[in-house]
Amino acid sequence: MAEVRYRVKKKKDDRFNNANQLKNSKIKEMGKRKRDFLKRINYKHFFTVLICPLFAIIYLIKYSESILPKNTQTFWFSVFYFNFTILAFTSGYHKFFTHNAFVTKNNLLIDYFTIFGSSMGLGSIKWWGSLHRAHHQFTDDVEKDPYSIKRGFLYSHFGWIIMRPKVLSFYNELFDEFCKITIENEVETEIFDNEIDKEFIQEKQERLEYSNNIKLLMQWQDKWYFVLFVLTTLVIPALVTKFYCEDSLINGIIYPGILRMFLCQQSLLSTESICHFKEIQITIPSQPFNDSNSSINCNNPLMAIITYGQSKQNFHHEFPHDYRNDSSKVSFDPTKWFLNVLEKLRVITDVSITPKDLVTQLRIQQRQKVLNKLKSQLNWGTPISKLPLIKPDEFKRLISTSAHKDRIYIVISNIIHDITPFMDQHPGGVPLLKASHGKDATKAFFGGVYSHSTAASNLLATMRIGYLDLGNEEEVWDKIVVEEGEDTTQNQRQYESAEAA
Amino acid sequence: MSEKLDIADLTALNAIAAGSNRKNPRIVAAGIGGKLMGTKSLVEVTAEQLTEDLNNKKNLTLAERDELEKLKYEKVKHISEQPWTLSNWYKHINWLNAILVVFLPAYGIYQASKYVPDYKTLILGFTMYVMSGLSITAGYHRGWAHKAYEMTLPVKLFFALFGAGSIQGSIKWWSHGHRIHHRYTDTKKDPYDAKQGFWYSHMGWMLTIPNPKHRARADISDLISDPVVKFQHKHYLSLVIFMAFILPSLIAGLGWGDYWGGFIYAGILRSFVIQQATFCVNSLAHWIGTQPFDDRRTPRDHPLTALVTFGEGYHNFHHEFPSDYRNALKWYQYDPTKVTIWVLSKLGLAYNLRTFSQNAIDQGVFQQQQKKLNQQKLKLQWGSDVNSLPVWDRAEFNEKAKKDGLILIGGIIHNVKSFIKEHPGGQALIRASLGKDATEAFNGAVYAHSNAGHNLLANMRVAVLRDSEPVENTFAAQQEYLDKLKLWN
Repeated sequence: MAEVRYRVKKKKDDRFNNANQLKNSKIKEMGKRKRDFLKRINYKHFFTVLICPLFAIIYLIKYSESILPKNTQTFWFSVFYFNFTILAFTSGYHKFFTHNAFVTKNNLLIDYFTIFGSSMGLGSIKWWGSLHRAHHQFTDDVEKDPYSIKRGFLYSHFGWIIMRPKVLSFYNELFDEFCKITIENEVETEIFDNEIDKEFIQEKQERLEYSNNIKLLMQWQDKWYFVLFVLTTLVIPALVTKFYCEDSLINGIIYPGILRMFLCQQSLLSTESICHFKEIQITIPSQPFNDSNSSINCNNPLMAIITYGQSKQNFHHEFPHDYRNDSSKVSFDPTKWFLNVLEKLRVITDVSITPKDLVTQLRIQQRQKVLNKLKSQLNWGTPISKLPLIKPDEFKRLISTSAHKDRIYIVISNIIHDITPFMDQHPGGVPLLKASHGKDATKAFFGGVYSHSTAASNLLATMRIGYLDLGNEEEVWDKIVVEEGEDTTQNQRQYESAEAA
Repeated sequence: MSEKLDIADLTALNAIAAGSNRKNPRIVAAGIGGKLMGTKSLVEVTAEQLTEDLNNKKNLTLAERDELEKLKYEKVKHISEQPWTLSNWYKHINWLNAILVVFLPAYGIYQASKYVPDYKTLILGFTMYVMSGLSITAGYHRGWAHKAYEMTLPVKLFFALFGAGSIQGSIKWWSHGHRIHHRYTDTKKDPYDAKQGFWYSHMGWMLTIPNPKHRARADISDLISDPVVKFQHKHYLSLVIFMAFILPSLIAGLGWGDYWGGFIYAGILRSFVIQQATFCVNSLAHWIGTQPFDDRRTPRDHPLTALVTFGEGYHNFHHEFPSDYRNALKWYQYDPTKVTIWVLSKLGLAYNLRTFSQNAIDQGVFQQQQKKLNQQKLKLQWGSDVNSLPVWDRAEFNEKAKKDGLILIGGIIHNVKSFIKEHPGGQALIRASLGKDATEAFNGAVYAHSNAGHNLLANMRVAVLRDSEPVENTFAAQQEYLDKLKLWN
């Protein structure tokens, strides 16, 4: 007896201890979270994305300066510098380093990309590029997509850049991989004996050298990123404004420096937030290529200007290698124009363009997917395979009973239809229906009396109640294949496409 | 086998559809009004003749039928089949109609150019234009011809009077023609067949003598039993003269002393505009616009047509769902007739407004979209059909693989040689897979390829591997594989 009591007591103690432990661990966790929160702030970007713009805005308010520079020279320099730097980012950081949309051997161009791209304050190529690749590979994944829209609009717009990513080990791997120098021996596993292969090996070595050079450059840029940022965002604009535009140094830092950077940042960040947020209807969103992820095409021309031509995110997510942001020739896309000019000048080569047919195919597959969904929500009538088989004698006996006296049954294409609920709506009048009651009116329906519209055939299908059993199973089967077989076997297979991927 | 079901007798059914199965009380219009704007010879046909026409079509080849018709008209050719010459041109023309729709309006326009009316007359003209226009669309067309809703007596009288005032024939004649048009759209039997050109369907059909070969009939027994229709048909001519000319002249004259302006502007010109608007439904609505419901026949939807015809411009919808009281479904489409009917029903002056179920309407839209999509699909390359591909042995595949650049994915052999350099994932990956089964690598073990990747792959098919199950739908296979991966993780 005593033993039992002791056991109970111990159990109580245990429970008490457990509760205490839980409490302690929770307090600990909260403290850790607090510390983690401070740790998780990315101070470098905190400075470039928040402190700098705030400083500029406070300065403007305090000295009640205008938002636009008063000096025309400074103004035009700011406009030029805006385009100059954002192009370095969209065509360099984005299209060249991240998506490999084209190849260039011009060192001057690559240097322009690396140096002036850093004036956005959105991180080094290594950091931004690997995160952007992760975004394309794991779009909408809460953990792996660095700016997943599922973590909220503000997070995808702003939060992700200020905070360090949560699953850091995962991203560290990405960072390493993004600019890891490939050593020749690692790839060379197989010996090729064909002539094409020899050519290929030679070509490959060249390409390896080329890509390794770029990766070295990215490592260098990552190392010197902050210096480059200060140089391109603060020093260069200040000096140009001072000596070329004959304006004050501080105006140079504020207008072409920080405010320009702020504008660029917002424009680039909004592609990841607004262009992934279907709920904002003012952008006129659509998903013509794939609606299984959150990326949308913003059809509001204003959005194209705000995002510097990158508002067609649904296209971009389907064809990330494409140097354009839209297959349309007339869309506002300065990056495309810039690259077009460079291509004409033969500065860049191997510009990747998605073939037109491929774009159309995807459009069609998506439309089919939407259509299938809409169609499945409608009543198309009972399929033939699920209709009860009724012998003609049985049918005749059935309709002659008093219970079916006031009803109308008409057979068309061997399918028995109960027309009673539709009777009064028949545009051709009730007498025609009554005259066809209990009879085979196939010919009359398909042109003998009136060539019915597709809509009429659809309506008719919703009134099916049975199939006339004439003992000819093969014929029934053929009909099922014609009507449903296509849907279930071939068509669906071919067009499930979009649904699958 | 006595088990077989009776086949519905086409002759009997046609008789019902044409309304010739029973004796209808004949309404004789007083005086010349009986023939007014009538194309009487078009509609005098028995059900037996109609069925015969049909049977002839079924049993005879086209050449034989032509031969038969040749024989029939060898000696006496109907005027409509004779060429227009200097000696017989006047026989081609339906003079009464020509006077009513061409000469009278021409006279009106000539007079109007010389006379400046009171602005009140113009307002009167516009008001009468709206009233008689709505009488045609809401009354003649949707009310009587299609029975899209039921009207009460005051509404019927209003529509019958102002409908007569727009000089388009009596309700009986107009509705009969219109029912035939719906029954035989785009065929020779269609009185305003749009396939014979814009001008024929606009005015030509009523200005020329029609060919009696293309006679047709529709059941109008419900109209004949309607006392208002009977009354209007009987006194049609006097009603036209009073409503179209005397009434506007009197209002303008007694009201503000503008007899002549009322006659020209609110009388002749107004009826001319309404006539042209109605003709536009037969011509313009079969000519310009989109076909969201069915493109097998000519009717089309266009806002411009709707604008001139009080909302009858959504004609593609109308031909699919004729007895729907609406023509436009969307709130932004212009259909004042629909609004009028709806308001009348709210006032208790109309009832039983008929609509087709949204299900049926959506079905039509989606089927048409599917049709368009299928047409677009046909223009593109989607890869060879698996069943039409040759079958290769493993040995044959191994032998050719390295040289020709072959890869096996899902039991199908693909020739990727020309694509090696373009592969976005790099040449090395695709080269390492030459001569191997890369199904898993393609589906997600290395990279889960996009739709575009699948489409490109399908275009590179060359053969099927023996004793393997070719997977044509690589999309589904990939999804299956990815789902499996998720389960494992």
